[in-house]
Parts: sequence; C-alpha cells; structure tokens
Amino acid sequence: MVCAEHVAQLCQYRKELKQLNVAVLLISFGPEEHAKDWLEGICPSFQLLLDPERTAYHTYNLKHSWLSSWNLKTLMYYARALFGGREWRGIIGDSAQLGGDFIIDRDRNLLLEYCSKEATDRPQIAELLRILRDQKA
Amino acid sequence: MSDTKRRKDKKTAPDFSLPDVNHNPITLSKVLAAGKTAMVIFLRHLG
Repeated sequence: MVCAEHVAQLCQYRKELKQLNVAVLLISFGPEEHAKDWLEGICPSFQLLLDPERTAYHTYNLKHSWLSSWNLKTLMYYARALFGGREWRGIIGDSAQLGGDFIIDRDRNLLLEYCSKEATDRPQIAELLRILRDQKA
Repeated sequence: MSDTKRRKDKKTAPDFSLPDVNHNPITLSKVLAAGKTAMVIFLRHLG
C-alpha cells in the first residue's frame, strides 16, 4: 500500500498507540505548505516532521530509485486504485524516494527496521502492533 | 520482497532533530527520554 493508506490504517489504532505510550513520528521531505493539509486529511493525531534536505532519510539508509518506485507492481496498484474510485491527489515531491518504518524503544534500540524496496512495500499494521504490544508486555 | 528486520540484536537508532509542521523542533532522543516508544515512518511523497 502507499504511504497515505498505510498511515490512515495505522491511525485507526491511535487510541491503542496512545495507551502503549507510542509516539508516531511521520517524516516527509515534501513542501511545508502541503504538509499540514496532508496531515489533517490523513491523521491529525500523529506528528509530521519536515526533512526537506532528507538528512534523516539518508541517515536511515532509505533508497532513492525510479525503477523501484515506478515498477509494474506500483503502476498496477495505482491503476486499480483509480479505477476503484480512489481520488488522485497528484504527486507532490520526488516520487523516486522510498520510505520505511522503524520502531525504536526508549533506550534507542531499533526493534524494527523496515526499508521499503518499492513504492507499495510497507510492513503489515498487524506486525507493527505485535512488536509494540510485545514491547509493552 | 520486503526488507523486514525485526531485530534480535541491539542496534542503536540514529538520533535526529527536525521541525514539525508547526515549526516545533522534535528530537528523537528527547521523545524517547520521555519514556515513549517511537514509531518513525518515512513517507515517500505527499500524494
């Protein structure tokens, strides 16, 4: 799934995330003028940080690849979504940049590092929640 | 397909400090020092 859907799905668990004492930090290199609206439309409960120079992206070794971002799987995904009635929001920013998900405990240990290999590649929400629940237990 | 690494060994996450959309500086280590677990999600683009 793509970023917006991934975050929207996670947002459904915001109350549990709060109970688990989890801070969800979204990071974007996108323009500030769009960032607030994007967050409002997807999940205002989360924090959106701005990294226009992509300093943190580089530090966390996230890939930048046109081939990986716009492969057949991604094109099919968007085609299915659009034919299924999904609103096209356009592309704001560099669509070759890939994302990733990281879970970090209070001692700054990485519990999960997940670098997306292509545009629609994200971890399952259930797996993220499993790690967070295990951490709390 | 995915590069999923649920880590068994200990690896320290790099610290960072970035502004949020309201221009408040957010530092990972400070968030963690408040006793929270952090889920950091790097977005692709704001589409």
